[in-house]
Amino acid sequence: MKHKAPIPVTETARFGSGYETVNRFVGRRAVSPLAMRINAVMMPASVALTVMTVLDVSSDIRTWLALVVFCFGPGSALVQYFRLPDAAMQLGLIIAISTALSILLAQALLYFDRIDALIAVGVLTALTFLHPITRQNPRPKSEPVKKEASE
Amino acid sequence: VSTTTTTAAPEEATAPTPTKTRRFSLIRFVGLLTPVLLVVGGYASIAGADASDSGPLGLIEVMNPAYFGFIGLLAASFVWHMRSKTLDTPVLGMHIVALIFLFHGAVSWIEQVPRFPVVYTHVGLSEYIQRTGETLPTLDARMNWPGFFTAAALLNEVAGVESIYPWLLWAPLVQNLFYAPLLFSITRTASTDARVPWIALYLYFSLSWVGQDYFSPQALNFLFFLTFVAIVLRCFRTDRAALPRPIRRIGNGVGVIVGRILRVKSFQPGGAPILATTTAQRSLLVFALAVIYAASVMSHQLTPVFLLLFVTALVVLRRTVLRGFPLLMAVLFFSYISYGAIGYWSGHLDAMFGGFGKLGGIFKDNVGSKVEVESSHVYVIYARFLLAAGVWALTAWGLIRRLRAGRVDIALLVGFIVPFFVLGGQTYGGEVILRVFLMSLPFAAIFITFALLPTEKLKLNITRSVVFVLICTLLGPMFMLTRYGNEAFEYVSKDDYEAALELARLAPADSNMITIDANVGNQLARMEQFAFVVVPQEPGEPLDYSVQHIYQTAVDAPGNQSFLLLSRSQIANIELTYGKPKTFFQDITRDLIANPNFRLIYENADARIFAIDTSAGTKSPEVEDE
Repeated sequence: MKHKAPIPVTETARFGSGYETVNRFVGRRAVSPLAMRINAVMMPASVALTVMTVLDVSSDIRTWLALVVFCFGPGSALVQYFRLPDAAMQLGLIIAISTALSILLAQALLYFDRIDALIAVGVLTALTFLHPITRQNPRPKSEPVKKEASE
Repeated sequence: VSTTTTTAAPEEATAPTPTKTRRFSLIRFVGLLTPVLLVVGGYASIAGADASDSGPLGLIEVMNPAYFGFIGLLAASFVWHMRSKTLDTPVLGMHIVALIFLFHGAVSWIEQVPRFPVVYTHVGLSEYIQRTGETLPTLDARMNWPGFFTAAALLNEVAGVESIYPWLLWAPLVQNLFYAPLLFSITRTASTDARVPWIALYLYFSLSWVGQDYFSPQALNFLFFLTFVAIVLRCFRTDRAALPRPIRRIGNGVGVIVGRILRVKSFQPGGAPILATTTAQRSLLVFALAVIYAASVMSHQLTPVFLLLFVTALVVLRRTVLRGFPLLMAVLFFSYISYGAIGYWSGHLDAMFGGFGKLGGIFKDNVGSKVEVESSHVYVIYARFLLAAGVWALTAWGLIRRLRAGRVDIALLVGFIVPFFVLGGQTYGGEVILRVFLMSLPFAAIFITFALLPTEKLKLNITRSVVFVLICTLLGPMFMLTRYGNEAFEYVSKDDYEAALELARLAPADSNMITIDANVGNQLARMEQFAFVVVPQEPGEPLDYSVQHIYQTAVDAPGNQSFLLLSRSQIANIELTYGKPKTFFQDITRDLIANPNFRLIYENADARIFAIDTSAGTKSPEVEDE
């Protein structure tokens, strides 16, 4: 079997005020696969929570869904924009951003004297769907890449 | 001697590298199964333990010794996998999860009720916001930073429940599981050696005895702290920028002296490469930092100060490219203080800044007052001091070993030292040393790892492996002693909780809730409608829990009707802290029942509620004057 040369993934690059050895290759190609997977679970969970809130269903499942959406929902969508390849970082950011946004949302609703389950669920669900809605479709493989005018 | 400009040479690493193989192998299967079996074994060994039997040394008195055997076996299994040529991430991750379950989930498994009386006050604060739709800063100082309680109230609304109380039992376990990935990200910045983050993570969870991970604003804010530090160190750190000129002169001078003492020719930055990011990614990450900091500012007093100091110190030493960010942080912090927390600071400037520079007073509040305990419980406090001192001594040793290897980790050192600057500020209710220990622990764990493995060249040989396993095994009982040493009075039994709930149901508005000790979780609901009064004790005088003194307290209290709640957590605190005899609960109950002004209206195994008839009493002269 032919041995493939390893891809050089590090280089010294100018960054900020100093020189750093950075993983440029990973930086350019990065996506957030873990956030994508969690978001795929969070989307139906947030829809289910919305439905249960609208119907005012009293159930332990609703409590579990609320906890999960508060801790993972919005973050799982927003972290995908960061395209960080580091799974641990993605997971931590998902939780931190979700809880931080929940606090800011709660404070905003408190300020406007509108602490209301439906508004909260609506906002959280919208945030959870933000990345899938705004995502640009990848270019089809068959379509040739247009050359730049300068070339 | 240069501390800044040398480019790190490629490592002559003998350290193992992480593997990404997904193939099934027997070693991986055993590696994944072993931690699960050890957790099951550990939980089974303590299934019969009763936290209410905890004595002056806390929960360790009721733990089965086999439990500590399982902790030792987990450490041995962890080290065995660390010694392999390629590090198996899922297997090592499973060991860390198992460690968290054994150390931070075992007590929830035993107690079946959320521990810590203060948790019940936090439930009450959330209940108030949920019921009224507003905050009440005069009710409790914590209401000036209501972000956490408002979010909890909103969560209750969305979940369709009055309180998420039953789910709080597992809060410490869940929060520690949440911390783990962020801690891993932070520890990964320390070195190119793939073993360092795992060992540091293992040490962190074995040493994290402070116990601020219950349902509380500080627990959530520690998550924000870790996220913030992880982003800054992983994406915005710069190790090779020249120090500012005045600091560089001092640094070079210190570098020469240290280099001569340690016989090191030159120092190189020791950190791992930062994560590559594009301009768009960095912009988004800065925005995320701002959002997280804003949430932190609204929900906790102390954490934003730690974060502001941390980033400012990095900027001053040019260890981050976020040069303007401290300004934004300061604007957010002072804007909120000036607007959201005005109700607190306008009347408490002395409390906020009065302790500034008074290190002696801060030391007395944080250390001196804690050793004034009249029982063998004092050994728990000594054990805590010993552990904290041991951690800091090992940190210093790790730093020296790292320097001897020619590596300097300025950003990590900043992270370790900066929390200590808060010590010069205020006592924070005698808890500031706990917070300093907690905030510096992630960095301390890294330096302790460097004491074991200062460079990639060193192998985790038999000697080092045995030392690590021994330390981790001994940390099992030490953790239990320091973390759960207060369990005799921090444990809230189901009967305690039910009595407090019953009293909140029974008592009409404007009632007095009398207790003989402040260690009680009785502020569960309708807390603004009651006056919570603790029977006062004169400083320097013998403790007075006589029926007459309790009765006079009820007479002097501002409300219409008075109720006395006696509960297990109060009694345990009095017995342990003030050395009262074991018969104290029976004695005081007998005396109260014998008095015609006290009527027993509720009792269970751990608690009693008395209605107090104050019609025959006359208020004390000093109360009349007010």
